[in-house]
Amino acid sequence: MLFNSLDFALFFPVVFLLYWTFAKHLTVRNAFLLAASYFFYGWWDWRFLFLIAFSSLVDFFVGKYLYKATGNTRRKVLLWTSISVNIGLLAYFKYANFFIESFVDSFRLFGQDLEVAPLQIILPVGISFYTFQTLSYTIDIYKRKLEPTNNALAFFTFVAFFPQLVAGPIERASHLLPQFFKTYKFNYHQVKSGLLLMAFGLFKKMVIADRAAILVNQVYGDPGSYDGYQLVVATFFFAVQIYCDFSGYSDIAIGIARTMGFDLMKNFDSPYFSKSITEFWRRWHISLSTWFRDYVYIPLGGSRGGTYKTYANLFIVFLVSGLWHGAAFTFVIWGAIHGVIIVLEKAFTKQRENLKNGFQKLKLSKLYAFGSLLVTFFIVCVAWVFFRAESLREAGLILRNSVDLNYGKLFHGGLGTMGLAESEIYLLLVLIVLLVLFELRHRTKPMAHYIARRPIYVRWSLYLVVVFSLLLFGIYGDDQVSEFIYFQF
Amino acid sequence: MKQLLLKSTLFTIIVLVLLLGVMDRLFLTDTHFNRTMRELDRYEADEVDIFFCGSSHVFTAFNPEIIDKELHLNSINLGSGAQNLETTAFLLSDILERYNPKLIVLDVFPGNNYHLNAPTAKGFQLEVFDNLENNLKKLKYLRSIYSIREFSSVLSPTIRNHKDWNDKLFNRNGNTKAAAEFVRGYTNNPGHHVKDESKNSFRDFNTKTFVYDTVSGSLPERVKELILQIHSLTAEKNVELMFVSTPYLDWYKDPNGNYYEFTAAIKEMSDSLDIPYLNFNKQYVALPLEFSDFKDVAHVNSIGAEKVSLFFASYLKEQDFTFKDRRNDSIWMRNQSENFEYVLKTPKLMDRLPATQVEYTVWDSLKIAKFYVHAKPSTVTKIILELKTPLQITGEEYIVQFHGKPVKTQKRYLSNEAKLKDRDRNIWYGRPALKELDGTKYLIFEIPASKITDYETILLYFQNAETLEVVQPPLNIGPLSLK
Repeated sequence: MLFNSLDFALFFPVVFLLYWTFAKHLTVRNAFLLAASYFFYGWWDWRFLFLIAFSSLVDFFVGKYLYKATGNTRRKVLLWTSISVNIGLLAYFKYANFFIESFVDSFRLFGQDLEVAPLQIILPVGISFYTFQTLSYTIDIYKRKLEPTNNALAFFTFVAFFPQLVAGPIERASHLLPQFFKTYKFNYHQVKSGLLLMAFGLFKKMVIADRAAILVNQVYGDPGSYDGYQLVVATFFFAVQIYCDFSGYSDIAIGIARTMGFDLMKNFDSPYFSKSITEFWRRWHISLSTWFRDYVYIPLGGSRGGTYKTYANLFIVFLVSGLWHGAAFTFVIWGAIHGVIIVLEKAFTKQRENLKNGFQKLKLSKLYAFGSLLVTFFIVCVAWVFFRAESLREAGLILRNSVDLNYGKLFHGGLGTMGLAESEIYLLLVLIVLLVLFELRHRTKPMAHYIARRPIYVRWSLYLVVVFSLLLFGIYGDDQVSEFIYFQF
Repeated sequence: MKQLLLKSTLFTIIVLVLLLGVMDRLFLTDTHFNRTMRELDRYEADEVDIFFCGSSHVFTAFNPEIIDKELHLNSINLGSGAQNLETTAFLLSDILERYNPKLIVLDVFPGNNYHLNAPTAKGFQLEVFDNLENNLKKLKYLRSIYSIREFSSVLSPTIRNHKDWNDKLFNRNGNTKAAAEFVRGYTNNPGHHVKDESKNSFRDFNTKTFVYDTVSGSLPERVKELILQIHSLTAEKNVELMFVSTPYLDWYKDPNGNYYEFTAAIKEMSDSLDIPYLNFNKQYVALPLEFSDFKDVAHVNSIGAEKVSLFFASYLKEQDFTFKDRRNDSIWMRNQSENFEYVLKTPKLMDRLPATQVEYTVWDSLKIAKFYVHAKPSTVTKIILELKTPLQITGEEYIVQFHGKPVKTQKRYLSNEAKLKDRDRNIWYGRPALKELDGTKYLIFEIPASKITDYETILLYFQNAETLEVVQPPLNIGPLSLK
């Protein structure tokens, strides 16, 4: 079920009201949440419910025995059982065809043509997310950071909790699981804040991201037919689209959970205001980057093995992160670009500091900050080309052609030939400017608090503007409800 | 929880009021049926004599401008795109609550059944429902047609048409061309003709003989039920019902069903229920209708519509239908003052038009004596040139360029094109048509409607249509007010 669908618009109020009806009775409430979550997921394809249930079952029992186990070998066997089952399922559903194709391609390099048909596999929505979430449970128990739960219902609900089941935030068991053992009292202000966050997320998704997607899909669908400046515009809009799409989803997820008293971790923190790629990854998809830090980077040795080992670990993490996003070399290259830049940033930390101090002495620190922001955004956009392009060949074509810039054409008819009417593009630009201003303001003064202090007529007017913006400018309708980009990962 | 429920209920009510009361009016689908219903709102309960009901067959064929003039009555054409019998029945139940007409003219042809079953016709019915008041009856009825998933967009034009936000909010000029052709529900495209390949396929359309007695009639059950329902409704309201089958080329090859069986059944029904039935597809010779009278295989063009309307008027006269004489009613007179043909024939009305005496010669081939403007509200404006010495011309020898420079205070009403090109005037081109009335010849051409009512200058440039040579200097009308 999609958050931006009529189905969900009917599902959520019913779940919300029933949830608060059962809220006092923990077991009934959790059972209801589990049923609602399975219904939410099963709406897409009920067959894959067995996969989630199986994954939950394995980790529930592994966690239980892992905690009791004393022998190192036995503990390792149990841990690897959990990792093998979870990563095995992920590998089969997500990477089987990628590995087969890569295998065939590598033979082709040596002049051998292998006839291997790709497997007919449907990628279960959200498998990458709930797999990582449930893995965090067993790994934390293995590390003795967490005690297992004996309450299977709470654990199953933790794995399948519908607001964040299909696209995160990827919660740690230590943060989310205990919340299934608490009862919550209805708090009007908390519910209101959750609803506002949901509305804001929907706005980002339906009004901005899906509008930008129309242009991006058209240009990236046939990049060879577009001029350089159009490819640049499309890449810029993709940067906007993926941010609004994914952060919009996270806002909705956090908002829904909040209306029911749950607290989910922050997933985005105005990432395009970052002044380095290192900072970007502290602000972009925070739940994933911290997961990789805790469960890949640190186990690999982190920064404890000397400079080059640190660089290698960093690079590996981003390579794996790229592969996590998608089973294609474009994603691997995307991860590699981020990895290389992060390694370079680490290697030239001193020089960057000196440069920053130099600007400071000239009282030009703001210029340095702004320049760093632009450079970071530029690098992120270049990497997004690989992320979005259908193949490495197309990514290369887009980058090559993007150099040929003739912006004169842009305002002489070129703007309206990218699948979106000029008026739609102008609306999009206005919305992007408003979003930037909103986020700038939000960094210093949280907007929810600011709005809460306004008189009721101002607040309600604002809510009406949001509702009517969704109704008038949202991209929806039978042929237009679009999935969130991160559902595919 | 109470606070949340209370506030969210209140907020939902505000949203619904704004949506249904404000936004939905702005986002209404731009159809000619909206104009029909707005036009109808101007009439009192007993001011309409005839309602024409049916699909595009109807709204392209029956022109109230002609029928009202001929019969001295008021008629409204309620035809809408692919209007099916279910919708017609519902529409009539609503209309007959508010109006007391003398006659309902219902179009019947095999497409009635197609429209009931075709999923594509579902969307068309909204043209009608958008214009009917929201109430439980309508809601219940719509629920029987549309699924839950379709419902939000069925009920709210804003949700349905939100993709057109730019036009609906910022570019609300509407379709002036469509408005120009609109007459109390009738609309048609002048000058459209059926394609040559269709001419070949339907070359027998006016030679096929048709005898009801030779065919046994059969109607789809639902069609029969609905016709009987409409008949009961009109009988209950003491309104006469009449069947018509409007002319179309592919009647004998109708893809929607067997025309012979269908119309034979209608004939049987009309005989048994004593309902008059005028089948135009039997009247091609009498009308007479040729290929040039059709715009496509399913519809007559404006010339065909003129013939159909005149024939219909004379049929009603022959059949001794009696209607109230509306000639002294203000609404009839107003309608006639918008009727260009009527204006031309009525010296009293011609004298009321904004006009300027001129003395202008075009290559010695024509001399212009008077310049008139006939501006119909929100539609086209007709420029009329009274000729001094009627010569043997057809009018097609000339292209006329109209340069209208508004007074300073009305420059904001200049067309978008003029604004874009930074012009101080609207420029329109027209190929005039020649009309002769009571011995006086007129050259007439149309320019799009405009809000400009006061012109500082109007210049007319005459151009030879073949050589493109332009007469200099142009005809300078000088200041003119259309008020």
